[in-house]
Amino acid sequence: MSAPVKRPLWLTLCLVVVFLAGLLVRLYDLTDPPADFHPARQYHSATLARGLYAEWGGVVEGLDAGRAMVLGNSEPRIEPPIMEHLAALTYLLAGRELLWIPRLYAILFWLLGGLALAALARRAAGDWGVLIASLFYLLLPYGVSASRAFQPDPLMTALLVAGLWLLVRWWEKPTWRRALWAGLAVGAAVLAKQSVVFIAAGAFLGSVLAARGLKGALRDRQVWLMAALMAAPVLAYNFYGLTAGNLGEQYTMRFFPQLWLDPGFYLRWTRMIDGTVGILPFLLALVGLALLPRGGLRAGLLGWFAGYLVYGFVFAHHIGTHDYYQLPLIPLVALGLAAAGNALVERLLTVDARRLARLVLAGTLLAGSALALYQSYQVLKDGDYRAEPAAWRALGAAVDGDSAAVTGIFDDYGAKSIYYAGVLPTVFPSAAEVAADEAAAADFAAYFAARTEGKRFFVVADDAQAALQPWLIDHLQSTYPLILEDAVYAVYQLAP
Amino acid sequence: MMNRIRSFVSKWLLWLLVGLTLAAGFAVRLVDLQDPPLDFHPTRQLRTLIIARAAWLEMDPAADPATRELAASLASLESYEPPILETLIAVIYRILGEEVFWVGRVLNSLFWTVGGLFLFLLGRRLSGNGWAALVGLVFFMTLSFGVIASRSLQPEPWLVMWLVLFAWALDRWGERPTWRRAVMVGVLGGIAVLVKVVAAFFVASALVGVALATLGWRRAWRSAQVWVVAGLAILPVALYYLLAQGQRSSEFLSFWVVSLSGLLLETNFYADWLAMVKSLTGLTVCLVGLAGTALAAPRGRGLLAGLWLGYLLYGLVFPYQYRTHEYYHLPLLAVLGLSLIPAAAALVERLRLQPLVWRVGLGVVIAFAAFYSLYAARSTLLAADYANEPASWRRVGEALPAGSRFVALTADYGARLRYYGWRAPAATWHTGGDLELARQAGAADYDFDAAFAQLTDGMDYFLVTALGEFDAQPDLKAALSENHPLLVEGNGFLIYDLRTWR
Repeated sequence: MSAPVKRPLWLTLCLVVVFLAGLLVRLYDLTDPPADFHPARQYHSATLARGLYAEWGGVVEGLDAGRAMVLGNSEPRIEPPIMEHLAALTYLLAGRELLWIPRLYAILFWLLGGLALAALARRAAGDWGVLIASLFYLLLPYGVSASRAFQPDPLMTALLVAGLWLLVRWWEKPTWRRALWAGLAVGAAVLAKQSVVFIAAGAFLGSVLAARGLKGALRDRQVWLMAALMAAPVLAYNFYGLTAGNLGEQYTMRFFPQLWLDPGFYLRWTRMIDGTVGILPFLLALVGLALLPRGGLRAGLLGWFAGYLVYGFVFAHHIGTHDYYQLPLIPLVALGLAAAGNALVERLLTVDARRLARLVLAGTLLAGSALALYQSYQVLKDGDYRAEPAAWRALGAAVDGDSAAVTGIFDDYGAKSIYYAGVLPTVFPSAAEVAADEAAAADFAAYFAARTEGKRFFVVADDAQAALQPWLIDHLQSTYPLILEDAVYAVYQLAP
Repeated sequence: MMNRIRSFVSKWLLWLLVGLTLAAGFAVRLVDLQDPPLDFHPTRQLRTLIIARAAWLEMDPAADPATRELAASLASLESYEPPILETLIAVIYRILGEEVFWVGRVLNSLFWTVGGLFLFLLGRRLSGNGWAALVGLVFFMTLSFGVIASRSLQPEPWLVMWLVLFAWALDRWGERPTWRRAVMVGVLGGIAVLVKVVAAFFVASALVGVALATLGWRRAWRSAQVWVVAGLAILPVALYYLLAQGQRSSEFLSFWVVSLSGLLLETNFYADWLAMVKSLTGLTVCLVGLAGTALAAPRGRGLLAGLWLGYLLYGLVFPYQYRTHEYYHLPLLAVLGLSLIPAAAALVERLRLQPLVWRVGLGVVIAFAAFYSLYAARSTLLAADYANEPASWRRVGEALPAGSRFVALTADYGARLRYYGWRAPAATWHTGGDLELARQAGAADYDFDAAFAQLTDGMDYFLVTALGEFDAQPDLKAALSENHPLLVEGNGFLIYDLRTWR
């Protein structure tokens, strides 16, 4: 595989337009609160960042700085809070806490990952492949929503793509400098979110085995340097977290190997792939992987795919329930599609009606892009959460900011209540937990009284749970006064 | 020798997989076979059953004359297309000696499967590659929407079969235009158009596409065979609609086509169309299908482009239904299934150069995706249970005093009551959706008092079964509850006595 030839002007222009479109669609509705995509995860990061900001002397609006620090410190540390530190630092520079700043960072990282992706696509799938990969990576509607979220995943995915690009560059010309950069980038990806270690390891193993073979790789000091750079940061973080922090707790309730024998696990996983990247693009991407020329990129991507499968089996629960666990699939599918698309384009440009073929090709890509942009725009436009902060602050005032007095059902584990109201509620058992509890079946009123002992307020802020627990809603409505109601919640007073 | 063995095994494996795909697709369509047909556009399905029941009782000399007469009066519905499928179902009822509603479901599933077989055969002709044709077949037989819609008791599933048969025959004619083949194309096209006249969009544009691709403008224009095909395709339906349904056809076109043509100028119409396609098939498959159309050899390209044009014209002529009625998009599955094949062929040819393990691995992944799609369809079918509905509607029918005239606010324009309850409302009260449709068709501003006076004039009772819709129409609720006594408050229905004033 040799370094690619000069990029044609039409491709450069198209890429500029695609990157601009990808940027602009992500900037739409920038200042809407981050409740559009996994609010529990985004507000977790927002609370952490605000805590850091307060700790560094920032002025928090509407909340005591000490309270902001306490709430920030009470958030579990799952991975190193890189995005949160960046956000808090920028809050300091801006002089106030602005929730769209971390959104800007996520977008920026995703776009930078797009540049690395385009560089990878050029190596194996030609000019049209670059365009197809970039279109998919930047305009996929699910990707648009996910890549502007305040969570580590956009950064992690971008670093993974950059890592693979640097690995392929090392494969092309194995210098110490290239090994150093590749190791650092892949190590940073794993540090950003360590669950991705399987994918990173797969891409790394694929690339080095393609370059050196097993024996050669074991003897190559550059390979050892990369491995050390990949492993050292995350090992250090884990050592610190397990000895000085509470990282051990975070590893519980994550591994469910018993699910491997459940057919539903595979169907949920497939449904999740379907709902994020789509089954047909996924299948086409696999065909594309098979069509890639042998070499570092193909080996790296096959390793990535193998790592993704291992990752899915290890996080058997999350892979079928948390759509953002599919984020590393987007660049993989983009590159596979690039190869499959390139094969189709090559064939299209050889048919007898070449002008028609070009027209169909351009029209198809243009129509697909326009549709994808329109869908993303609609999703962002339809979700309007601007009234939520005031509503949650009103709840905070109604309960006197007393966390110990509040329980309820929340669609985000109480994350918005924590962030806006400064109230850390106790979450009432879910419908499944209630159904599994014999005491609840025997006497729900007694069960409810025991579960809410000492609480003064019950917040209903989860329509899905409310629908699943009609007995709970009946009990609340028939027994307690409704003291506050809003589009996002209802508050019942359990005791004066 | 090894090559011959390999070719033999490959050929048999291909046919085995074709058979498995057809069998699996057919079998999943029979899941939950005996559940009442309320899972997919009940108005349309029950209409078929109401007409089939009347036709069966008409054929059965042993039927009770009063029941036969009642069934016939209940079946006096708006005419859409010739009741061929309904008559076929009635004949089977007659043979079985009883009304077995799911016969139609089995028939349509079978027709779709036959369509699948011919789609494969045509795909193989278009691409010269059986494995690529298998990809098109897998799409056609396993797409979840296709599974649910193609077993529906309405003409569309077998219309799609006739369209595929027509396309297959047309391609053969394009390859070697003999008179025998031309007549076959014309007859198959004629049947498709007779089954449902909208097939004319596909038949006409595909014929033009293939004629232009194979003969060119001048020769096509002068070709007697082309004119015979067109004549045979048009003649039966022209006789039916112009002679037997002249007035009705004119009204239908006036309302559904002319009045609603303003939608074509709204950008939302196109967005809704795309949203509909996205929800039914996904948009990526359409993009790949369009690429496949361009990749096909000239004759195939003419055929596929013609079918795409037919789909487009159909939507432009019936814009309202394209946004609201999923089954209007059923022919798209055949168009897509066929269009995917040339694209698949381009990839399959490249994959041939890869090691066997890759090809087998990809085959396994595609098989799993097909299984997933079928499993999703099966789960959707099993998730809904309508077993209690017939008895409920019988009770509603019994609650209405015999011989009375009533107006009804009910789901499916009273079709459930008509079929299960053996009662037909003398008038149906409009839903919010009806008012919106009338508005889009350019109707004058809605006047509740005038509408209420007109629809309740001479009526004895007002039946409400669509309680959500009733709540959404406070004017109606007030006019009934304030002025008329509630005669019956049943489980899920209300009957107001219009003869008595409070």
